[in-house]
Amino acid sequence: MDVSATERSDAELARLTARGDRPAAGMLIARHQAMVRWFLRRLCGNADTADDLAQETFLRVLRYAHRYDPRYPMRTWLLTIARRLWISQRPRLVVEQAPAHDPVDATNDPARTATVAEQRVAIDAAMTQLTEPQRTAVLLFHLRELPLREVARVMEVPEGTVKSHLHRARALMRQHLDDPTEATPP
Amino acid sequence: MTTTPPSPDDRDRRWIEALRQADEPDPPDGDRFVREVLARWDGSAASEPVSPRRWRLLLFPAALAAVIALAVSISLWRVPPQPAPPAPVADLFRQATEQILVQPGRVSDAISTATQWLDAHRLIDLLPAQRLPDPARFVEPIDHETPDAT
Repeated sequence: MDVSATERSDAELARLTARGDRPAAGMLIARHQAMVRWFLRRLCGNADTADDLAQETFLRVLRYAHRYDPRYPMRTWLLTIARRLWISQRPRLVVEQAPAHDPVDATNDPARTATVAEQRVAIDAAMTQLTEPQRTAVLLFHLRELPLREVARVMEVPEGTVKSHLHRARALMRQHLDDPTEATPP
Repeated sequence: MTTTPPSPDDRDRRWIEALRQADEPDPPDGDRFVREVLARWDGSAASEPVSPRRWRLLLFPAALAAVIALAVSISLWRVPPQPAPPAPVADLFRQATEQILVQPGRVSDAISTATQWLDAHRLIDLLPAQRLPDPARFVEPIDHETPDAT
């Protein structure tokens, strides 16, 4: 009995994609698109730019699916490609420091809405103070809760370097969120 | 009443939690995104250059043929030119015999042919120079058909 597409592993989908299997490619994209787009939106701060980069990321994965090493998670490969694309194309892109997310949903509690909005602004402002490696480390380790080993593989640095980025990023975030006027760039 | 300041870990947890709460939800247009990527993939596949794997498949026979041709040309180039083989001895004797018997007027040619034969077999140096007949002595035709007057 054939295994349905939803039960297929990333490695199998990559193998089928390398043969030109369109449904497998679609399943691979659908499975990981949210994470890649989220990561790029948080990195570059612009939803349209992030989606362009995400499309390019997946195109490369589809073209070079035969190179996928199944010993490592697919998301590691995707995030590595996405980050490389962002770093290489960043000088040519217009980076917006505005928050990448949509406006705060209106709720029945205007006070609550205002509080959340202020919180988002403060956090976004603090995040913009971080360097790209610091931001990547915070996003993947603290928000996506990827293992340190996987974060290091995505960033293509030793684990100790990731720890160093995280340490400095946490200090800056604390400093900025506690007293933004005293925060200094790294 | 005073409160103790939060430890660094507590303060980290606070902003990390705030960061998570402030994080945006997954984009709702995932299906559209998938369709767009697949459409670009279809478009690029039509105009895409040959993939690296196919390049390897195409290049391998060509590279193999080039290597073989190169090896053959090098081997031919390195072989020294062979000297032309000497005329077979049998041919030289046949020529000499014909010239003496069939063309009796060409005795000098027959001697030259015999001398070539000796030279070809490295025998010419073994003979004293005076034992070699001088072709000039035989410029006069010998008529084998004329019976000896004596």
